[in-house]
Amino acid sequence: MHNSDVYLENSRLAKPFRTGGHPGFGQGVSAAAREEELQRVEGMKIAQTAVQSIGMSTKDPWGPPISLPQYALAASLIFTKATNQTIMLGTPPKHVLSTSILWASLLHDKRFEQVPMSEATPGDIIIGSGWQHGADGYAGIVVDHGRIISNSSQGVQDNSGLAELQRNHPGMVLFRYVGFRNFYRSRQLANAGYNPDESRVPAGQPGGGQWTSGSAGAKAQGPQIAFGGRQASETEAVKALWAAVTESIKAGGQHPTRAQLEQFSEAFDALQKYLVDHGMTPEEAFEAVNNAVRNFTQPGSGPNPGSEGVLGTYLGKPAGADIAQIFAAAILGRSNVPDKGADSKPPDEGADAQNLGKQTSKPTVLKPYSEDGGHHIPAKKVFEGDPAYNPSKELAIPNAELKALGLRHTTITGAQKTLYSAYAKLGKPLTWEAVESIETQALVKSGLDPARAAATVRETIKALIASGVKEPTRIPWGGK
Amino acid sequence: MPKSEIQEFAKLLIEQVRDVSIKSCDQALNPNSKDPVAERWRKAADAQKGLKGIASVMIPDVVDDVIFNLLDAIDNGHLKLMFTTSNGKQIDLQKDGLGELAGWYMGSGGWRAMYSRERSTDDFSDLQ
Repeated sequence: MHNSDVYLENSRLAKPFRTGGHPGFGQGVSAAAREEELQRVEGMKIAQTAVQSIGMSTKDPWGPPISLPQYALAASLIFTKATNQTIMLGTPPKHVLSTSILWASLLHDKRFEQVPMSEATPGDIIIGSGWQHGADGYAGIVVDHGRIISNSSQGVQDNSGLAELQRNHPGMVLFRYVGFRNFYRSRQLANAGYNPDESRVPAGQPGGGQWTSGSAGAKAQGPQIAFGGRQASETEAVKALWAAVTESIKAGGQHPTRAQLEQFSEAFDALQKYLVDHGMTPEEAFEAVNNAVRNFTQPGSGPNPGSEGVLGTYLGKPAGADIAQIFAAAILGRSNVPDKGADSKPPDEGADAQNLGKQTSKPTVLKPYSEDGGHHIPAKKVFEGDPAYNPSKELAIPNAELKALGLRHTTITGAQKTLYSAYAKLGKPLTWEAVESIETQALVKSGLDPARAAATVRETIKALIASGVKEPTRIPWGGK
Repeated sequence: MPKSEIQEFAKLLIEQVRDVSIKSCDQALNPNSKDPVAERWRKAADAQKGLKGIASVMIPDVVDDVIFNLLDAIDNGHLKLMFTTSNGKQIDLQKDGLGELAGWYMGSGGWRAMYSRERSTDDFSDLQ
């Protein structure tokens, strides 16, 4: 069997995504009407992906019990793919998705537009920042008429009523992906370099993922797989898969980037394609890769014992199957999501497997404040009274860098004040996580790229902690 | 010629407020800046409504920037100023202002919204 247009999914739960648009488009209806129809049809599929990625069926709203981390991760991954933002593995579930950062990201992403809450349709993303309504944040996807799958400080909900949301939280923002035609443009997978003489992985073999266990070098001379724009051995592809998982954690800390996730997806993609080309059905191949991921993510197995359980630790054990499902959902969307600003841009076929995980966003230039002044990140008043905090030695975005990036102290400070004041009203102590979120938003407000803003703030917080600063001491502009 | 103490104040005022504000506003002229003020100014220029059209947008932003930098200089102790209230009480603006005056001025719902009768733009209302 050869299928050059395979889209990964959990076929036990989903029907394939349509890859060529919707029948009837362009046949005597207006562009607006076509877009509306695309939104209606494809938006539902986005919603289905979100729901199915956590093992639920959209036909069974009460479905199996949802465990919070899995859903939060699923939502995070889907949103990550749409926004170039990072997910926050390893943080408590209620903080897994940074709604404030997500909100800021979507606001500046030209692929998304804001639409009135009254026009919400399936697939639309609803975001409520904690500052807006006294919660830790709320993020949801409209899955069908009047129903929303969501995550918030109140926990996972699958029965949020749109009408109720509109009534109680009118300040929430709703984002819609613009241009579904491009979003669902078909993308063929890389040529697998199929060789009919190669020994095949038997169709339906339960242990289809057997190549994931034991020595990574055992099959160095085995069949080839197209990966990263070249022919790679199974072992290399498996290594790349492994690297994508671990580098997402190591290089990005708790914040793997979209690029890292996509690299992971490509590895997953290539492996499943290989198995399909060698006789497996897509469903069987999916299970095989599932097994691979499970082996990698459960402690005590895989080629690098001792570290492969990190993901599992985050999610609770055993978590491999759930992770695989989530990644599959991510892949399902990723294979069609164009890069930002280039709807038809192909994936980076020239990337070498060895480069996995190296595409992290870099922070801005940072220098001790005493060297070139600038803007303290975070605001120095946050640490007032901590003897370990020395404002002249702590890192700041220097004036020269502010100028080069077109950032303005005036705007950043105004945003900081606004956000800290709002946070103070929640009556909660200021945490590192909140500081990170607020400071990131403040930089984004002045026009810094969200990913870079996040990296910058993380870098400064890391430096503060390293210098002995234990925690925020007060909430400026309204705090104690 | 004012006495030397006043000259010292003048120097600090010019350096810390006037010059810093000009630099700050120049950054809003950076064509690549995505700062909301920069975007607003570009939009005003693109609207081609003449000098008045552009200036009416820029004037409040420039004024805000200058006042912000004055307060920021106070917050950071570059300008140590005292204020005498209507009942004669003297307060140290840096100490009693907790070093937060500039933010109180610029932030959403801050002093501009509370006391100004002239036009201003709240660039932070979406963050609340």
